[in-house]
Order: sequence, then C-alpha cells, then structure tokens
Amino acid sequence: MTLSVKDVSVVIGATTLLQNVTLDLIPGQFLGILGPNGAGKSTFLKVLSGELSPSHGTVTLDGIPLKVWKDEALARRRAVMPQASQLAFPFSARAVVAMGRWPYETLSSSFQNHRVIERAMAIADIRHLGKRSYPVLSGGEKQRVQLARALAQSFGTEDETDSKYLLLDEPTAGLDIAHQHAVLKAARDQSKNYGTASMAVLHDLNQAALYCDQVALISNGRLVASGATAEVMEPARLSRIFGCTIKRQAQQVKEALSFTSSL
Amino acid sequence: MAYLSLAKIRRRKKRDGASYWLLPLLLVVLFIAILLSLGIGGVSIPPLASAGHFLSYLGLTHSDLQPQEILILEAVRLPRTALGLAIGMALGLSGAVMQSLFRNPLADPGLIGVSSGAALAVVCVIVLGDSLFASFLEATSSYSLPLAAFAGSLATTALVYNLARRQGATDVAVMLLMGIAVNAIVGSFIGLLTYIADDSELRSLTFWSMGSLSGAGEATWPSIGIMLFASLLLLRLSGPLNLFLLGETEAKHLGVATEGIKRQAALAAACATGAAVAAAGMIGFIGLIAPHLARLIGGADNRFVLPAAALIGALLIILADTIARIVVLPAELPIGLVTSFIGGPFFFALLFREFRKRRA
Amino acid sequence: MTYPIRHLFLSLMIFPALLVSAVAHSAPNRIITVGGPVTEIVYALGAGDRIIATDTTSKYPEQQENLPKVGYMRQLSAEGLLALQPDQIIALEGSGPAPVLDTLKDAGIAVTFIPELNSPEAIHTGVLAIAGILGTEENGQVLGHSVKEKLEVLQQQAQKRENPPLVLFLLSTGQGSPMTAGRGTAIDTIIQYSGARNAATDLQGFKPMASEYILAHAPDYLLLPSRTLEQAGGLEALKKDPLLGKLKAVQENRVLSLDGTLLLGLGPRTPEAIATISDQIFPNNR
Repeated sequence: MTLSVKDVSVVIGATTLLQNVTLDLIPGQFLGILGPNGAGKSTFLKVLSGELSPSHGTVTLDGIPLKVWKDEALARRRAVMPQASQLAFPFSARAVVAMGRWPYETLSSSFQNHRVIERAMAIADIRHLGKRSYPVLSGGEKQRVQLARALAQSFGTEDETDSKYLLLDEPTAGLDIAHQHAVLKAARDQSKNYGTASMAVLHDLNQAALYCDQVALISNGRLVASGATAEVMEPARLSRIFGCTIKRQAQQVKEALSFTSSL
Repeated sequence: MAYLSLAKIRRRKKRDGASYWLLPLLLVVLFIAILLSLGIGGVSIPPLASAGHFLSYLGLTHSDLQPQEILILEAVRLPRTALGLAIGMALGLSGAVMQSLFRNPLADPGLIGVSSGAALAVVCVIVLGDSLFASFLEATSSYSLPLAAFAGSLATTALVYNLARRQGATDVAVMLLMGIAVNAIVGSFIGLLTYIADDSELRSLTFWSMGSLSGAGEATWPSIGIMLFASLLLLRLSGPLNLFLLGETEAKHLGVATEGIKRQAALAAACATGAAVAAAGMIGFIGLIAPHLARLIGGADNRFVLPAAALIGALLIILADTIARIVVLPAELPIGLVTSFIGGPFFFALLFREFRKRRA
Repeated sequence: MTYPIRHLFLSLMIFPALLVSAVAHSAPNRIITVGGPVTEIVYALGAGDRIIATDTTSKYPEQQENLPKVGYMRQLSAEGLLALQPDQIIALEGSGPAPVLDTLKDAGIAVTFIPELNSPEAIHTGVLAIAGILGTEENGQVLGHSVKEKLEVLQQQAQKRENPPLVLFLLSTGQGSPMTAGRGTAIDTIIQYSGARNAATDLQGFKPMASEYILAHAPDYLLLPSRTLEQAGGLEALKKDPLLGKLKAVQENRVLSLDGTLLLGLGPRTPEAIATISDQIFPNNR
C-alpha cells in the first residue's frame, strides 16, 4: 500500500529532468524533498501526482500504475497543494476549501463535509477568512486556503481505511514564519494522526530537520540520498549538493538537528 | 469497499453557500416577461386575455379572442417567444461555460470560432449560394442558412479544438490562441466574400449579423431542439467547471476527467451557440452579460451561475425582442442592435463597479 | 404545440379569412408595397391612394414619404404588417424573410412577388403584372407600352452613335476609394442606352475603384448622383479635389448629375433618366 516510483526518468526534448529515481512514499511518514533550484524537485512532485507521465519507469499506487487509475478514484487517495493558484471569479475562501470535497460528492454527508471543512480551515488558520472573496486575499492567505483545500481532500470519509497521500509543492513559500511552522506541523500531524503519507518540497534545511521523518535529496535530476532525516542530512553531502559550506550545530540528544550555512 | 454502498444512499444533498433560492424567483420573473412578450406588439392583445387563451386549451377558461388575434398569438408571438427562450438559454449558458473553461470573465463562445464559423458559412451561402451551392440550396430550401451556420460553427470549433491538441491533451491557453488565429483567418475570408457581394447581398449580411427572431416558425424548431439538448449537457458540467476555475491541473488533482469535460463543454457550447446563430443570426452581449449578472446576484458558484445565466439570458432576449418589435412599428429593429445598445453601457457599469471595488 | 394541431387550428380560422380575401382580391384597396420600383409603378398607374404603407427602399414619389414604413424589404415584421390590416402586399422578389410572408399568407392576405426589374423587358412585364393586381389593366397597357417603346427608340439611337464617349459613375467622392457601378447595375444599363460606354465594365456590381484606375481610364464624362455633387460642394469644389480635379472631364466641366432615385434602379422613369443624360452628352443631335 504505497505510492512507489520505480526507476523513473523524465526527458523533455534533449533535457533530462529526472534520471532513474526510485522512491516510496510510506504511510504515516512525512517526507521532505530537498535540493537546489532546478534539481527536479517539482518535476518529481508532478510525476508523483500523475500530472506528468515519466518517459521511463513506473509510478504505482497500491501496485497499480497511476495511468490506470481513474481521476476520481485517484483524487480520493492523494491531494496536491499547488505552488500558486489564481482564481478570476469571486468565490469565498470557504467555497474554495469546499472544492476539496468534490471527490466525495456522492460519498460524504453534508454534515461530514461541513465538519471536515471547518477542521481544515482551523488547521490552516483561515476560519476568520471564510467569507472573504478569494481573489482579494493576500498571497500568503491564498496559500493557506489552498492548504486547507488539500487537507479537506485528504481527510476523506470516516469509514475509509485506504492510506492517503498529501503532496505539498513549496508550501512555505510566501508565508510568514509562524504560518510556515503551522503548515509543516499540519503536514506532520496528518502523517502522525491519520497515517497519511505527506510529502513537501522544501528549501529550509532546519525546517526539514525539525518536521520531516524522512528526507530525499535531489540534485541534477538524480536522487542522491533518501531515508531517515538524521542519516540523510550529512553536512558534507549537503555542502556538496548545495555548493556552499553547511555545518551542523552542536546539539544535545533528542533535540532536532540544526544547520548553519555560508559561502 | 464500504463507501460504495454509502454512495447509493446519499445521492443528492443540499449544497452549502450558494443562493439557490434565487432560481425560482428568476423563473417567476421570466414567466412574467413571457406573458408580457406574448401580450405586447403591433396588434394589441391584453396579456391577461392571451394568458386566458392558452389556458382555454386546458379547458380552464373560455377564449374570447378574434381569429386574427389568435393567429398573431400562435403563429407569430408564440414561436418567437419559444425561440427567444431557447436562444437566451443557449447563449447565457454557453457564455458561462466558456468563462469557466478559459478561467476568464471576458470569454465567450466566439473565442473558439463558433460565431465566425457560422458567419463564414452564412456569407458563403448568401454570396456564392446561387453559383456554387445551387444543389445544396435546392435540397435544403428554407433550412439552408440555419444548416450552413450550424455546420460552420461546429467545423470551426472542431478545427480550433484539434489545432490545440498536443499528445492527446488540449491546453486551454493554446486553444484561446488558436481561436484568435482561426478567427482572424475566417474574418479575412468573410471580408473577401463581402467584397464580392452585391448590394442586396450586403444588406442581407448586415441584417443577419445584427440578429433577429423574425425567422421564428417551423424552420426554427430543429434549432430549438438542439439548443435545449445542448443546454442540458452544459448544465450537467456545472460542478466540474467550478474546479476548472482553480486551474486545469488542480481540477485534475481533484478527480475531474479534464479532457472529457473540455471536449463536452466545447462541443455542447458550439452546438448551442451554433444553433442559436443558425436560427437568429448574431446576437451579441448576452453570452457575456447573463453570467455576469448571475454572479452579481448570487455568487460565483457555477452550480448556481449556470442555471441562473440560462434564465437571465432567456429573460434578456425576451425583453430585448419585445423592445425590438415595438419601438419602430410597423417595422422592427434587429434584436442584436437592442442587446448591444443596452449591453454596451451595462458592461461599462460592470467594469467601473469592479474597478471601484478593487481600489477599496 | 405540434404541427398537426397547429395546422388544423390555423386552417379552421383562416377559412373565413379566405372568403373575405377572395372578395377583396378583385380590387385591393389596402396595399403595402415593398421595394422602390413597385411603389413607383403603383403610383405611376394612378393607384397611389390605395397604398397604406411602403418599405424603406421606396424613395419616390414624394407623396409616399408620409406613409408608415414597414422597415427594410428583407427584414419585414409579421406583426407590424398584420397590424396595418392590408389586403394585398406587392413585394419585389427577394423580400422577406420568407416565414414572415408565409404567416401573412396564412392570415389570408394576398402576397404577390414581382420579379426584379433588372432589364427593360422586366420593367414591361412588371408594370403589366402590377396593373393586373390593381385592376388597372388599361393603364398598365399604356404605361408598359410607352416605357417599352421609349426604351426601344433610345436603344436604336444609342446603337447609331459612333465613338461612344466613356462615362464613369461614382457613388461618392472625397475620402477613400469611391464606389463605382459595374456590369449588372441599373446605371450600366442607363449609360449604355444613352449612347455612351461605362468606364467600369471590368467590374461586377458596385465596387470601390482604385484612384490610379480612375486616372488611368480618363473618362470623358463623370456621372454623379445629384446629392453627391451637392455634398462635394458643386463643380467648382470638385475641380479642387486632389484626385477628381486631375480628370479632364472635371476640368472641362463635363460632369453629369442625376437624381439618385433615378439612378439606383430601373423603373417607369428610366427612359426619362436616359434621355436626360443623352441630351447632356449629345446636346446637338437627337
């Protein structure tokens, strides 16, 4: 019961965006994807979400290739929070969150939908924005509405047992520091409390170290390392990938890793 | 799985947030407009008397109208009102669907070549009909213009749609650009044929391009049928089209079979608009204004906007046609003239309102 | 409502109407004319007082200006026409839309189409047909005959002319390429019957003519609708026109003008129009 990427390559024209990547998303774990700009992180997320078909290799959910899945059935298993989403029409923030319940249109009662939407909005800290028109919200507020929508989608129905997958594309971009932590906490809680396999494309090493159970490092389209956060985030390896000096700060046992960087 | 059985139990539920209560209200207003349109015209027949006449078929009342009044009601006003209703619905709905599909509040079916295709076909028949398509004209007689318009709009839309296809997927942004290019080329052909046209053909073209419901009658019933059918198809798309507004990728992530929806939306909108253009020529602005008015009164949720745009479109056409019929008696104005005359300033008002809101 | 019911219904109520119209048909006295030449012929036959409305293409004679206008001949309104309660509609071929006229027929109103008057013969048959409807056959014979005869005489005269001069017609002057009249127009016929040649025979119908072409053709005469000449400011103003001022025809005062209602279609007044032009071109030998 996993979302698995096996030996996947993506070639567009003469450019290789991903090369022989193999990785599993494990239910109950929060995976952080790290890597320099243009490394192929977003491409990897697109492959996982089914938006992009790999030129080589397979992506399977529960052993069944993504292509075979019906859009609707797939939507009940994995939710995606996009990097930026514009909306030209005056939907209320709440209505946008409610769109996350579309895959459960015929499966979930309006009462349950209501509860899920309220919970998602509470987690994303947008309950006070519910009646505001989405197009006039600030960039950060829009991001949080999109998060709530993805959460509402990944909550599913009460009687489901199948594992869920939550994919977040740079979820902290454009957010203030408090809300950055809130988003990452939400993703981690989703994994911890509901057995969801969460995955986020991140840039901040310390945040990754603080929230992620697992980390995958991508550089030049290749998966350099993946596994438990503490094992993967070696200062030497990070320095090599990011092309700058990264040091791990002295720490006590049980405290999260922390890094400093300099050129 | 457990939720499959639940699916059958909880089929249709109340949706939160939208102003569905406005729909019956619109229906009542539309009904009043229909009575008005049946009751007003060159020959004065009191609206109540005409309503009484129609009720007499049900055995409810006794009709006390003169034969000539009955002729006017049944052979002139009734088919016209029916055609107006269908056209208003078709144009309002197609506009709303196109705006959602292209995520652009200014979109209308004309963008994907529906109108220009119909226009080119009609210009061909009017200008070249006698020389090149004589057998077509003979075989189709009074249906030749509607048939040509309908075929033209479908063909152009199919062309735009297929030009925008890349590896089995259609990008709506590419579709928009292809539409602009195709419209430009089609426009040049129309210009060329207009140049060849003689005086009376030019007049026919001009009037056709301003629209009129005066052709309502037996020849327009097939168009009405197509419009109703296509409208039902379009109404079914309201839910998925909401998600389209977030973006195509997002819609797909939420489980919408986007390619299918795009194909259905383009085809049904082309059918609806094509049939409308076929029956009454070009009637501008309804496709743009009806959805905007719907959003103005009840919010942007397509599950409200689509049916409301259909009702408002019908209402606008019926009112515009009533005006067109009576202001220059015994002649009548082209209805497109009335809709643009009212629609233009209305659109200004809409824009200014929007600007004010943005500044605030 | 489905067709069968509607048809049954219509025929039931049209029956009495048909009886009425059969009586009225012998001498229609509430006539609507559609198409300029039709209106003109009805007046020429002395039945103008029986016309209750005309269309917007009817511009002559002046009396009809006061009548209600039923709109452009191809965009008639069923209800507008019915409200006037006519018993006869005489329409130039091509009037419509067809469903509107069908409805009128359903209502028991006689609708008669007159073929387009695009040739001298057509004027003759048109006059006779309209006279037949009006019940003024004698007047029709006289008018039709005189038109035909006059045209035949003019044609014979025209054929005898040696070196017929070149005449260029322009619908407008001033900005842009002016419209001229090529083959198949009433103006082409009028120019030919007056013993001249049309400078625009290369073109079909009304077309804009390129400025260079106008200069290259160097017409002997320029023919303008009288309103166009007025709007241009008369002959002296025309001489200062950057394009037309260069024409020898303009410099040497060989500019002809004629009432627009005479020029734009053939009708009973066509012989007079031709004679007027012919007299100006050939003032000495008739």
